[in-house]
Amino acid sequence: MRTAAARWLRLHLGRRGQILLILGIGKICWGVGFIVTPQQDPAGLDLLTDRCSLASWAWLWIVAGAVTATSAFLRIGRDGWGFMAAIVPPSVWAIAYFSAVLTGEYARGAFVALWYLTSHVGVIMWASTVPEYSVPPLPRRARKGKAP
Amino acid sequence: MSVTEIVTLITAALGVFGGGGFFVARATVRAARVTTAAQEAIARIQTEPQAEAQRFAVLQATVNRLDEDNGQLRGRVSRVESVLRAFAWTTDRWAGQMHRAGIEPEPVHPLVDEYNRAGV
Repeated sequence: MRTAAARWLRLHLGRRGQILLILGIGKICWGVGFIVTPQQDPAGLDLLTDRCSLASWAWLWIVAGAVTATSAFLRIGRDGWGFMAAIVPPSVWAIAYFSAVLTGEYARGAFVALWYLTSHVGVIMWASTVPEYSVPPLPRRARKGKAP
Repeated sequence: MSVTEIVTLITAALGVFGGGGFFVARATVRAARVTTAAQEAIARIQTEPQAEAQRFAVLQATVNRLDEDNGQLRGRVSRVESVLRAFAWTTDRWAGQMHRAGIEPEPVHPLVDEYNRAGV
């Protein structure tokens, strides 16, 4: 039963769908985390927290994550919106940290911004180039008979 | 925040969002195209042996029909040869009979004469 469900999910998701679902769930968790356990005065995010609270910005993660996870079930070609939604929150965070570096509030922000741009945005951009196909199994080679 | 900082920030934001969005959209289109091509190739590989087998079956049927025709023709030629040999034997007997009776037979047909001389 469990394996059947897993097989159905894998067939319907495909390669791109798998990473989209993983990214979407991760983003939703990250956003929910900001709401459930609010962070007091996070360093380097002044560009965001000056506008509204981090709990409000968390909805960006949740909505983008929901779009990403939903796109996992779309056909290839239509799932581009999922990848686009996936790169929005880490890009916003990277720009916030970059701004903190510009204003001199948070010197470590440059490295955090680069980490968001590579480990998040870069990985998502790479994942969007993955084609959706599986190579059929090799035909079995003719085996040598044992009879003389 | 100074104007320069704001301009830098907006440029960076445009670069990240515009560049990332453009890259992702283009990559998705290309991946979809590659996927279609691969699926077509897989379908072709899977159906090709069947098409090959069908072509081979047509060829095999043609060979069988020609073999049958050939066998029938060989049989007919063999029967005609036997009848011809029997007829030549008969005419030889008649020619001998006419010689003995003092009658000179008509000269043979040129084809028969040629056969008697050349063997073909």
